[in-house]
Amino acid sequence: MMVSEYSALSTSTSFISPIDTTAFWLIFARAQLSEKSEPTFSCFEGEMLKMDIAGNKETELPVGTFQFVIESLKHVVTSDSDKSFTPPESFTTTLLKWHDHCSGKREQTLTDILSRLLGLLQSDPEDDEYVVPSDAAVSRTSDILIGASTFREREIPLAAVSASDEGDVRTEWLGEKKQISLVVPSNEEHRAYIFHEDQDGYGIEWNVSSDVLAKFLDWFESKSQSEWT
Amino acid sequence: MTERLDPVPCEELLHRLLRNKTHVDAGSGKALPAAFHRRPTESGLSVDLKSLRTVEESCSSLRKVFGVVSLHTGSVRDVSTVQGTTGERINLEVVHDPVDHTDKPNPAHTLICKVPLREENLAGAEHVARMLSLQARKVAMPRE
Repeated sequence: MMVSEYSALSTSTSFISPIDTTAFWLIFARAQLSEKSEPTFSCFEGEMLKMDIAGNKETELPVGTFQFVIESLKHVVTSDSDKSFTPPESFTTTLLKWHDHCSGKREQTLTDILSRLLGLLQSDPEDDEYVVPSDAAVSRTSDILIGASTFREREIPLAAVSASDEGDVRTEWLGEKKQISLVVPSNEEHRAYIFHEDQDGYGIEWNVSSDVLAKFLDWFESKSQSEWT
Repeated sequence: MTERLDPVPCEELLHRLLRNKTHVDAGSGKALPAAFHRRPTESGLSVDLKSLRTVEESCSSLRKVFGVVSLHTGSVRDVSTVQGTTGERINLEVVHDPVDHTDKPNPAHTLICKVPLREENLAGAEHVARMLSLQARKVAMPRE
């Protein structure tokens, strides 16, 4: 889809809303501009978002691109905010990694998981105890997840995503009889791990990589597909 | 001075307040395991006895609450973990611990004790958190 066709899509699809303009420009800008150029968002009139970038060029983007970025932005930017918003580095890098991996593919659950992951980056003025995970933790988690999807023939199952009280990123597949938790700490002195449990017992896997996670996901799906909560 | 319930009857319901927005699953609304990890500064997981404090009273004691779940005392006591050093199997305990001597007294305050710290027994702490999250049932918030 060309940029020039975007306005037609906006009017013909109920899914598209004013916020999509920003979503479009985010991917567009990061794909086209140099790494030195940081996109900045600013909100106005309560619902519209505008992104200031330079050097716009036309490009081709799949429609699925919009959905992920929009959902991510909904997590990170509140519609009634009147403050400028500069996304954390891990936000834009994760979007780009997702874009490179998922463009044109059916990766809905991975898209949902990454969207939830980026939602962890949103601080809350009313929740002063919430520890926003580090850029490094979010970025490593997205690397592992995207990498794991390349080792699998099927989509990654949908996961719950949370942050611990210390800012660790927790991506979890929770079944009645099985569980896998990928935990990537924000504290660089701590190690990432995969907790796994079924009816026979539980344990910690310290060798954390995309292929190891993919194997655990195969194990999770192999017996418990009908038992998911 | 609040009289202690000793022991806490197994049929008592416990309310745990979720103070981290990400500890409530976006899809199901259930409490995630991270809601049941003990901090190093805590001697146990804080809960309120339902029979001594309403959900409204519990929630009003904190600035922000993102969810409330209930647990059965007897079911909590059934959760056990293996101690790393000795291999001994230890069950969780529920101990009434009323708070009287602060500006925010809480006669219903109770502790789920013998929850392993992640720093000391990571696998045990994760296991306990999983078991408690499976048991936890969502409770309607006051303004829901």
